Amino acid sequence: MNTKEVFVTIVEGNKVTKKTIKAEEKPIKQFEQERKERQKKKPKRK
Amino acid sequence: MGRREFVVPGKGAGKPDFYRTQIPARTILGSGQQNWYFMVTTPIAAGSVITVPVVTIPPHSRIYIGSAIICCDDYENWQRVLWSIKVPGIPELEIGDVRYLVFENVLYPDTGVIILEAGYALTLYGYNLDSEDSHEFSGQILGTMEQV
Repeated sequence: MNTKEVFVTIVEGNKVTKKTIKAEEKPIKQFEQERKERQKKKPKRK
Repeated sequence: MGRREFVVPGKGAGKPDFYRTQIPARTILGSGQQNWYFMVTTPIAAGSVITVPVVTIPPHSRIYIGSAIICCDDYENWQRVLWSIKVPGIPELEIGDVRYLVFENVLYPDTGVIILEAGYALTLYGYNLDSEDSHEFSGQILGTMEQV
């Protein structure tokens, strides 16, 4: 996994924010494996 | 050009029901509502997926997602983008999965906008399905933010 900074622009009404945020980059195979496990999770019961 | 004036006949029986003027379609936002846009641009390495945390809805707010525009500078391969919402206490829910070539515009109809309540988080996953080259990706999400 590789963490990189990505450039984003956010507009809220008349307010414009330009900044960099952290984003994770990983190989598709690894991502799909994690995604499959994530989809198996069940909601927590209250 | 000099000033031009027209006589506009009034509406009524036997009268035309149009005027020589333009009335553009324009959405008027209610009180406490404002436009909300998010745009990200980033290169994605060959055969990789980038996870972009778009927004976590602040307290006393709500965002209505109306559309998303995605593009990639790869004109040889179909690409893919996923987006999902995370609701506290519930597993992540994928709400969009689109394959596209260069560009795609995802438009939610007025009656089917995605509503993100306070505490929800929206995440964008951009794939680069090209196993050889890095590509430039951009994603834009457009909606309306409302104070509640």
